[in-house]
Amino acid sequence: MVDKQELFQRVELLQDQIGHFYQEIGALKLLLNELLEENQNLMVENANLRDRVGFGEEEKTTPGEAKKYLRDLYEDGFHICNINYGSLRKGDCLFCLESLQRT
Amino acid sequence: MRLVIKKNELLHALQDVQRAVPTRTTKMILYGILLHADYEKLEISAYDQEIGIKTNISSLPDQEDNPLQIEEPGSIVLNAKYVIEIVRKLPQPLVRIDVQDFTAIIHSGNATYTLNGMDPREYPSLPEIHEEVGFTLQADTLKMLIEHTVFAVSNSEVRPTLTGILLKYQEGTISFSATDSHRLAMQTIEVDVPTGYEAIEAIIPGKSLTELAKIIPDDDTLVNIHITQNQLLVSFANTYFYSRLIEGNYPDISRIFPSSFRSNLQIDGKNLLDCIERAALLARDNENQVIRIQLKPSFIEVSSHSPEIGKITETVEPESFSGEAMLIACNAKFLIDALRALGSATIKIDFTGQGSAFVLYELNNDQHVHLILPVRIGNI
Ligand SMILES: [Zn+2]
Repeated sequence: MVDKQELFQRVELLQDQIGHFYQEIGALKLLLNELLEENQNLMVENANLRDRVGFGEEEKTTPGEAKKYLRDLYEDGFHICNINYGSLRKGDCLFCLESLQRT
Repeated sequence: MRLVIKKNELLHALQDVQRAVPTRTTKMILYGILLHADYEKLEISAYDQEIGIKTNISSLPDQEDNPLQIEEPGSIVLNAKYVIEIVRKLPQPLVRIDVQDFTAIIHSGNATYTLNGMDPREYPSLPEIHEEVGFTLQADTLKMLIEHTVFAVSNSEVRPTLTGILLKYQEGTISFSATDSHRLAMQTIEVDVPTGYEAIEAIIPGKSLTELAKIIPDDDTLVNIHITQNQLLVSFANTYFYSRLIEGNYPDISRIFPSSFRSNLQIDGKNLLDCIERAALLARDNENQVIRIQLKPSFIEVSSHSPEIGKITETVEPESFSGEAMLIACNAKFLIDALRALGSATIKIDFTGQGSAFVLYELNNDQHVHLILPVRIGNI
């Protein structure tokens, strides 16, 4: 005979653990977003730095090219704003358009 | 717990707190409402760990019209759906509730219900919030702040911050802002009382504020608002409303307001709303509910078409128009939401061009602003 009380407690424990997993996934998602944003900023900065040092003549990226890259990415249907960088967009985005104007 | 209570007081309290009972959950206990009586009052509360609502009914033995007589303190958790339906249908204006262990016996007139309850010790406790700092608004002002903005929050969980309203307090003003990245709504008010806060920014879930707007009264009742690191508490009359806050940084919205305009329009808000609503009838089927607005100095032509159904064209006269003629396409629902919030006074719309946001506000009142990004004409 299974101890009902124990079974119940085990199910409750499992329930708590699932709740925990959820929180963990949520936190990881936020972290991922931050990393994507940071990656984006580093990419632009890198392109600008390369340009300034004249580093690697053949694969030189100018600010103009960085801007074009962002614009192309946006036109291909991705967010380039730091709210949703890299995620698929539906329709135009106020924040993307603002960053395109600024770069 | 043993008590006698007026049916209407009980029903009203149960219906208010029911808004914090989840429609779906894995924890059985959360389907319940917690009733807790001491000698002075009955506390009725529900908490789905996102939203919490508590309302107190006081026992006033000295008053002739005492709503509540408590014979024995105690507590129980009762299934929200059943207890509300039962209380609503009770035959007499007075209800007796006797609780023994986890069973409630509810008497009214000749009707007797025996309702199996749950263990109150398992019910989650509401957050603890120190109430020393906070600010006070009139209920109808708070409701206005919510109703002028909440429709613009994002429904997508991809970016959680945008599913909330940004509450910002600084230098004597409070603003509520919401955006789904296609449109933005913002309402600012001036507050002249010290709040105890230097400045605050809190992101409150849109869902919580929608529920709050349903239970706060439509009058000048004073409402106290307290904000902590991760919780909001709004209290008024005998009711306490709790909501978690959304973590993260809200995007800088000051940057997305256009600074220069190419055309400017003044028009009767009600006329324009009626016209857009008619045009929207045929826009319901296309994905973005797109309508076109042709701006000309002498008139504005609103049109929409649906390949299968037909087309509609209507012109309205503006009170004034200046700047370039222009063709704008935009989501009809966004425009309707903004115009409904703005009401029937004369409104002002500033256009920047086909590809950038236009701004709507009440004439001579820039505290209530809506911003909408047009749909690119090539895309329709
Ligand atoms: Zn974007």
